[in-house]
Amino acid sequence: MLHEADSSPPALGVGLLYNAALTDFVRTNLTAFDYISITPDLFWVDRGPRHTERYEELESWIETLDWVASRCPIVSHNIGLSIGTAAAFDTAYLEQIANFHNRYQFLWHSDHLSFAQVHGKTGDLHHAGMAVPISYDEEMLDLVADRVGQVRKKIAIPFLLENSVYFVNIPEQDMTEVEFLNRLTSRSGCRLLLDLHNLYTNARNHGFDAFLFLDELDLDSVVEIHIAGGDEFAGMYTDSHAGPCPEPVWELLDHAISRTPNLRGVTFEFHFSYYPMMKEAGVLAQLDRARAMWSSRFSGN
Amino acid sequence: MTMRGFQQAMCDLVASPELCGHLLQSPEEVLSRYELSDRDRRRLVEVVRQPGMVVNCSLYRANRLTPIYNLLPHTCFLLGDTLMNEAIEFWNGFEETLLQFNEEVERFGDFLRRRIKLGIQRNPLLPEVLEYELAINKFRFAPRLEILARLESAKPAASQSNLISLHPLIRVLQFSYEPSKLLELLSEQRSPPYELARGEFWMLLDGRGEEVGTKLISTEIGRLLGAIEAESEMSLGTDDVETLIESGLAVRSLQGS
Repeated sequence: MLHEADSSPPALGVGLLYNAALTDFVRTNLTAFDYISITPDLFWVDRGPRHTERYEELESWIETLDWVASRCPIVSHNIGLSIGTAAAFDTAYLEQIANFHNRYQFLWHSDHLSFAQVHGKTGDLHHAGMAVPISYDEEMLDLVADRVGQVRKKIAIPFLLENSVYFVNIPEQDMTEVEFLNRLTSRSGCRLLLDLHNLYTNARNHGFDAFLFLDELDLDSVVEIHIAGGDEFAGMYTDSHAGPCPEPVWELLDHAISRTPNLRGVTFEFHFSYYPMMKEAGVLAQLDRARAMWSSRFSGN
Repeated sequence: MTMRGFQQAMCDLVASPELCGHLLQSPEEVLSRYELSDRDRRRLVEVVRQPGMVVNCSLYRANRLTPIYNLLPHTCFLLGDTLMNEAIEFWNGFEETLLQFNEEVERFGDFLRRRIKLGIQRNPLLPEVLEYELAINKFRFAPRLEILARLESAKPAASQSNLISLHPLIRVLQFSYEPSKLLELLSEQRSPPYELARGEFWMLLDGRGEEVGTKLISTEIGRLLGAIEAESEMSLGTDDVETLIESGLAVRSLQGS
């Protein structure tokens, strides 16, 4: 059961994570999705914490966002919170997300259970070059739970964290990923963005049963599900968002969708560079298949 | 609390396969650079042995190469086999990135300019193609509507001025190779050498609209606009000023501004 101080959002259906290749698609296929998920970070340039006017909006992107926002529900999928960074928490970034929420009235917002910022030799925070998974330790649980509290206090809509992909296994962790997620949601009140492709990627690379993972996870806390594709890179399977979802991700969605009572949306995401391969019909096919599963949730099929 | 040291070490390792190799060879030497617990040390020694660390290092490079490759495609094509080495050299000098596309590309552009000046990059087509793509990107990230609004509001105050500057959303570029054919061949990803006409060519880049427009202009106009751009401001006769203002290529400047 959702136990947010913030209000519970309505069940939306099937959504699409906006990317640079979708400008025309969203305008001509407005009925093909029930909501749009946006990554606010793509709509501005971040000049860094030392600049007084740190964020500069990208006009052409904002124009599309304004158009979409006036026509369909929007949720936010941030990439810059870096909630697991040990050294500092970027409250100016949080302020910026809050400003964007005030403007666009997101139904919920999310970020990743990882860190992407780190202190360097100069003492300033800089980007790690990738989202680095956190270690599932008590100390990290304390840190993330505290920051979730700050986020929820600042922005009064459900805040979701996404399960990460990891390519290395950090030894001697205090708990498993599932234990960490269950304890985090229970303690902090954050919800889960369950990325089934990330789960599939980890299960495939590290040889565990993704269905068992789902059975152990507190699925009551899942508000959004991400589905995507991936491919092999440097000897492992990666979450590259390379086109359509592989069949095992659909199987995981089929399994999860009837077991997530607070699910509000299933979002398909892909990397913009794969649009020429998928084309409009390819994207629509993914949305249609997700919608059929979403509908089956209510019909009991 | 050693989490900070552990995260710094992880990020340094992800950014440098060389450091991973060094850690495998001399763990104490590498790990002594960070404030770490015994468990952190055991973890770091273990993770660099895992095949997934190669993936992490490759993803770091792919993520940092993405803005460069997406926004400077022709430059990257001309760099050919030297692209990766140049990128690694660039990253070695610019580790603490914010990973903002425009900043990455501008700084890589400055880096390449230096490499060209030093004679390390000698492809004769590279300087002009690089400047062309950097100029296009400058307009791509420019606050176009804000600039246009600012110009509109400054119009009355500058209406009597004969001092002009190039419109901030207009640029001219000089080429010594026929640019249309050059860019066409690069778009088709045809490898040099090319048979291109040599001479003095001028291209006008127009960032006033939603898409950046390009067109070839005459040598005479190109030189004039190039001179205005180089001088920042130029005083011309009234008729010439009117012609340039009416064409939208130049704007009046406030006297002494």
